[in-house]
Amino acid sequence: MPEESGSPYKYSCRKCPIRNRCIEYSDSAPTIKAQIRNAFANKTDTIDLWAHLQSNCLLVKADEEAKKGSTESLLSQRLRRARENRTGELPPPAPPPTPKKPTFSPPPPPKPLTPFIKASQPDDNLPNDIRDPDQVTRHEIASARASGQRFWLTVQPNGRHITLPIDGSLVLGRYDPHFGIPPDVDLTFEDAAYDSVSRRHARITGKGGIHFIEEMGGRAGIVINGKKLGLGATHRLYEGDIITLGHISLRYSLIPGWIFRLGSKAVTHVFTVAATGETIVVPPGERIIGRSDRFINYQADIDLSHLGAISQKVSRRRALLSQPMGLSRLYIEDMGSGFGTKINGELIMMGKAYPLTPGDHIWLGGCVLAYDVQI
Amino acid sequence: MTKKQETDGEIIVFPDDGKEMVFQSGGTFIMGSDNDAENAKPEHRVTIDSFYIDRWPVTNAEYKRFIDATGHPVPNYDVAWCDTSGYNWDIETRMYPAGKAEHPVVLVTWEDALAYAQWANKRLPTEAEWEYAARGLNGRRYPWGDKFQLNHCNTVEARLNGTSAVGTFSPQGDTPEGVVDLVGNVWEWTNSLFRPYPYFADDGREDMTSGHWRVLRGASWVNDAITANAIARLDGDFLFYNNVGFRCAIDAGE
Repeated sequence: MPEESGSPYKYSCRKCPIRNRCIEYSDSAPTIKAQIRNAFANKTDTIDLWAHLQSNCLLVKADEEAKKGSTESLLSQRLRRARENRTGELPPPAPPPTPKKPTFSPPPPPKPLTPFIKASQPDDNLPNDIRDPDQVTRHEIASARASGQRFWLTVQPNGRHITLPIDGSLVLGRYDPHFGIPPDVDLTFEDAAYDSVSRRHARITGKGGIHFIEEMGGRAGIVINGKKLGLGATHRLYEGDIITLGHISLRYSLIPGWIFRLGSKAVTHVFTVAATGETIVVPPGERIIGRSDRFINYQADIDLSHLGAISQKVSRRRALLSQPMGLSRLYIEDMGSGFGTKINGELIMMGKAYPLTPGDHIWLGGCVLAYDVQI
Repeated sequence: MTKKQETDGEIIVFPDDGKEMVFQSGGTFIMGSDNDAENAKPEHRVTIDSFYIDRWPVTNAEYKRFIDATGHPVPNYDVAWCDTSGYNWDIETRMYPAGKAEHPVVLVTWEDALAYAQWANKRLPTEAEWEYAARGLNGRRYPWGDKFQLNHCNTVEARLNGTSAVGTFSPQGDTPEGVVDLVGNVWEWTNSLFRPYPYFADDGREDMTSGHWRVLRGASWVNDAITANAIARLDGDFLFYNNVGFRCAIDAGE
C-alpha cells in the first residue's frame, strides 16, 4: 500500500481497507470522527487529521505482531488478506452525516392538506379582551421576577427545550438562507416535513418572567389551546398552554428546579443545530466553536464548517466554551469575531463568560444552536 | 366577447372588470435557472397553453370596484410586523389611500386576490404562466431584456420607497407584448403552491383548496436589482404585506 511521499506514517489512511471501522472505534471525540469523515468525503483530509487515527494504527500493530513472530491473530490475518486483495481503487467515501433536501427529485406526492383554521371563523378565535403586556400590573411583574421562576417551551415531537428569557423577546420561525438572518429560535428541523412555520411566525416577550406571545402574520397562524390567536394580537401564556405554529406544538411550562441544581453531577453537554437537527456532543474542557478552515490548516474544536450555507457567517474562532473546575455548568463567551452572539435573543457582551441553561438557544449570526444536557 | 384572430401581444379590454389583458400564445419555454437562487434550480422546459394576462397589476381603483360590488372587507390592518401606514384603506368610507388610485393594491391576502379573480370571472396566473409572460421564449432575465437597467422598474434603485402608479416605467420596462410592471413595484400572488422545480401543472400544486404557501413573483420596491428579476420566486408564508399585490389571467381560446 503506497503511502504519500513525505508522510510520517507507514500506511496511508486514505487507502486503508479498514478505515471506516478504525474511525468508528477510535478513542477520538465524536466531533473529531465527524470531521474526519466529512473531510474524507469532501477530499479535504490532511495528514494532521489522520494523525488522530495513526496513533493507534492497527496495521502498524499487526506488523509488530508479525515481527515478534507470534502466531498471527485473526485480525492480523484479516488485515493481511485485505491488503493483498486490494485492487488499488479508493473505497467509496463515507456518506455525508447531515440529511440534505434534494435539489432535484421526481414530483413529490402532494403534501397532506392540513386543515389550517381560516381567519374567517371568529367563533373559534380567542376573545378580544386578552390581557396585553401593557395591562399587566407592575406589581405582578415584580412578584414574578422575585419568585425567580423560569419557563421554557418543549417542542412536542422531539422534546427539545427552548428556554425563555426573563426580559426581552424572541422571534420564533424558520431560517431561509435566501432571505435574511435566522430567527432567534429556529424551528426548521422539526418543521422539515411540513413546511408550515413561516420565517417570522411568533414573537415571545418576557416581562419579569411573565411571557406574552404575539402573532406575526404567519400564514398558518398561531393556535393556543385549540383557539386561534387574532391577527397581530398578543396573548399571555400560562403554565401548561400548548402553542401550535402550523404543525409544530410547543408546551409552555416551568423549568424544573433540579436543572439549576446540577452542581457537580456528571452530565453530557449537547448542542443541536436547530436547522438540521444534528447533535454535537461537547467534550469537557475549553473548546472553541467555529468554522474549520483547511486553507490555513485551522480546526475548531467544535466545527460548524460542514453546515454549508448555514455556517458561512460563523467565523473561525467564534465562541469559547468552558466549565469552572468541578462544576457541571457550561459557560460560553463571545470571542469578538462575527455578528455578535445572542443567548435567547439577547446579545451578550464580549469577554465575559455566561452560564448556559438547558434549552438556551445560541444565535451565532449564521446558525442557531440549541443547548441541552443529558444526565 | 367576440373571438377575433388572436395574435401575440394583442390587447383586449376584459368586460367584467374593464382591465386590459394581453394575449400570450402557448408554447414551450425555459423555466428556472441553474445560476440563480437555490429554489429556482434546475432549469427546465415547460409547455403551456395560450392565455391572457392582465396588462398591469390590479390597482386600488380597480379593487374598489370589486369591494363595492361584493362588500368584501377593505384592507386595513394594525399589526407590529408590517408598516401599513400609507397603505391602509379607510374602513368607513371604504376608500383607498389618497393619491394611490393607480397604485397596485397591497395588504391583500392570497384569498383576497382569489376573491377578486372569481368576481371578475378570471383566475390567478400559474407560476409558469407568470414566468412565461416575463421571460418569453428565449429565457431573458428581465421583461425588457437580459440586463438590469435603471429607470426600468420600481426597486430600491428607483428610490421611491413605496409603490408607484402602474405604467410609471412604461414603455421601457414592459415586455415586448406590452405587459407592464411585472418586475418591481409589488410581488404578485400566483395560483401555484410553493414546491420545488421542475414545474408540473398536474402534480397538485395548482390545487386551490390547500392552505399552504403560494408562490409570489416579480419582486417589489423593497428589493434590489439582484433579487428583482423574472426568475425569482418567493414563498408566501405570510398573510399580506405592504409590497404584495396581484394580477389575473384567463384561458384563451375555446
